[in-house]
Amino acid sequence: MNCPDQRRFDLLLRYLDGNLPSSELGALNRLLREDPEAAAWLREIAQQAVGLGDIARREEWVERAGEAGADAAAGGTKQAEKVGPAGLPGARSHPPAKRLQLGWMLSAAVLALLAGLVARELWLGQRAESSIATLSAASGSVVRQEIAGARQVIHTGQELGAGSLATEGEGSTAEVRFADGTTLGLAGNTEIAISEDGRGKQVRLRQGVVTVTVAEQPDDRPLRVQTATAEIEVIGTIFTVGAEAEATRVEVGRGKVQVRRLVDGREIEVGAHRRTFASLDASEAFIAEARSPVPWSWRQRFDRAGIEGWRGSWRPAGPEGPASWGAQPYLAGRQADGTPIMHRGLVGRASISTPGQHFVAISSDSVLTLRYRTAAPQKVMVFLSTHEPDGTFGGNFEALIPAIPDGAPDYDVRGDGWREVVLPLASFRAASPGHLSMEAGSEVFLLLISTREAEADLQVAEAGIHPAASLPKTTPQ
Amino acid sequence: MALDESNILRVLFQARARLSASVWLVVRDAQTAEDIFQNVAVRALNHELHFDHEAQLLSWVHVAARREALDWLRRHRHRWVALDEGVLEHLDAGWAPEAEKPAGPRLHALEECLRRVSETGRRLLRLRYFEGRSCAEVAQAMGLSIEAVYQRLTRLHRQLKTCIELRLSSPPTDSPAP
Repeated sequence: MNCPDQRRFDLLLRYLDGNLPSSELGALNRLLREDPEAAAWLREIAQQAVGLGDIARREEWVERAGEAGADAAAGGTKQAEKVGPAGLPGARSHPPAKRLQLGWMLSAAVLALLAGLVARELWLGQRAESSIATLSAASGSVVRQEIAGARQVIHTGQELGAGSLATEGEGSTAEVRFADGTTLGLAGNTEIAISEDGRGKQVRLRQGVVTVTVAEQPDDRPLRVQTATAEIEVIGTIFTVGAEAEATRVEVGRGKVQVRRLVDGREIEVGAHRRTFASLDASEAFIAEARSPVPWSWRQRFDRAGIEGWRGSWRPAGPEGPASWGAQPYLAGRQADGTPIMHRGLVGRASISTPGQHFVAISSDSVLTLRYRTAAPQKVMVFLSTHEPDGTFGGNFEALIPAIPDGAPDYDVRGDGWREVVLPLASFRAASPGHLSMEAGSEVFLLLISTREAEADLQVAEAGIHPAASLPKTTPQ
Repeated sequence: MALDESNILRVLFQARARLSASVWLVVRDAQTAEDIFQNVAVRALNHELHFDHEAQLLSWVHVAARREALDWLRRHRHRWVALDEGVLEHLDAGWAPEAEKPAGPRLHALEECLRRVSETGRRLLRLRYFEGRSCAEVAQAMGLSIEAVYQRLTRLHRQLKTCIELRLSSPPTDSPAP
């Protein structure tokens, strides 16, 4: 096999780099079909790439094993070089006389380790031996997500190895706790992959919102959060990251983080109470700016289609009432056997592309106002997710509006089926472990209004959260 | 008689390096390639699947892995181009002549050859293939132009390939290279 010229090699390397425009894809496909040398080179590069990854991982494994019993294993031999057995920077070296034998022993050991991991952990769905964290709290449906779509429902207390984790449905939340106290708070419909190795903890946020509370990390092993558009590096702090396919928003509650925009590699430091936004557009401003204050009063009228951050079906005003949004099916959880539990609801989440990432801040007398209608009397559930002012997860809270009006003064029926309800937030009960009540100053980032009955035909015309003192003294009519 | 679990595992791990490389060609991310390999391995051990011989298992594994890789690419890398499936099949077919060869000696040869690579070259390879950084990121980290990174990668792959082939064609030795 001869070497292809640099132009053909460039084509292969740019494809592997994700840097090949679709206009050149046809040329590459033709080249690989018609030129056996080019096809063989692509296979060769792939084998080298995978092999280099195996070697580097193995060296880190050796390094950790060496650290665990350095004195006994070294027998007094120095192990201080910065270059590993095969010379990949970042791992330690072993005495030359032992290299070859150790290499073979390790090859066998790594294969045995892999076989053991796969057989014991993946086959059985457990990762206890390679646990790096624990699912410390969960609500709704939380799954370990396999690449090809196979999913395994997991529960509070389950140990987690390196791999993917997802909350299914807007109302599902999860908290992942590492041994050092670092926590990841996952909002609904969030997918992450976690790992921890010689480089430190790594979190890949594929979609959704995660609040990261970082215990102090070693200087040379910072925690890294990667998204499609940014990389965040941190030694110890609290921050929230929201990621969509083409944008990432970072808000820092305490401490500071280093954010790198991947599109152009620029880096900035984002300090406490500041935020930044990284997209795929390198011409867009990439700066740390003061976090927008979250309002104390908030109202959303569902009088038009396409309200950002909300999911439901819009219905224009008509003889039956005002314009509204109708509930849609969503995944509320899973039974023990994995069977999905479907409810119908209207869900809103503060969008990452809008300032603040929160709808409203809560005061001690805040109330929720709701104007809604169902086809027949039905219980309606209202569910809120909050952050504390410092950015940590503040808990999930829920309240049930009974189906039958009970004569309460703020429970008004007009006779047309539309109801106007005022619920003190203090009456909401905690729906996530470790959070007893909503704290004043907490900020609401998710609101879910739902019913369990498919035929309920829930419609919502308006929702809001306000300090009670700011409401009119009379019951709304 | 159908292959039992221990035989399926043995075949899978013997084919692991080439299978992971085949998947890596599609997803271009080492961790994802490993995830897909593990996932396909789990599916291969599903009691509803029966493989009468190794070739049947390997054929199924390659096809299943390729489909999962393409599915992953569609879901996660909207902006990345994917090779035609026919081309991927053609590339997969190229692994077949090496199916019987154990992967260990090649990996060991690669490890030995890596020691002959300059410190800068090793850093570049680590950034690109272990840390999974793009060539633009590697270029920035090393203060190079992206064209220079492509040229250096070309040289490094050629150097490693020549060295690996030399070592694999030489009789084994019990002592380390000087």
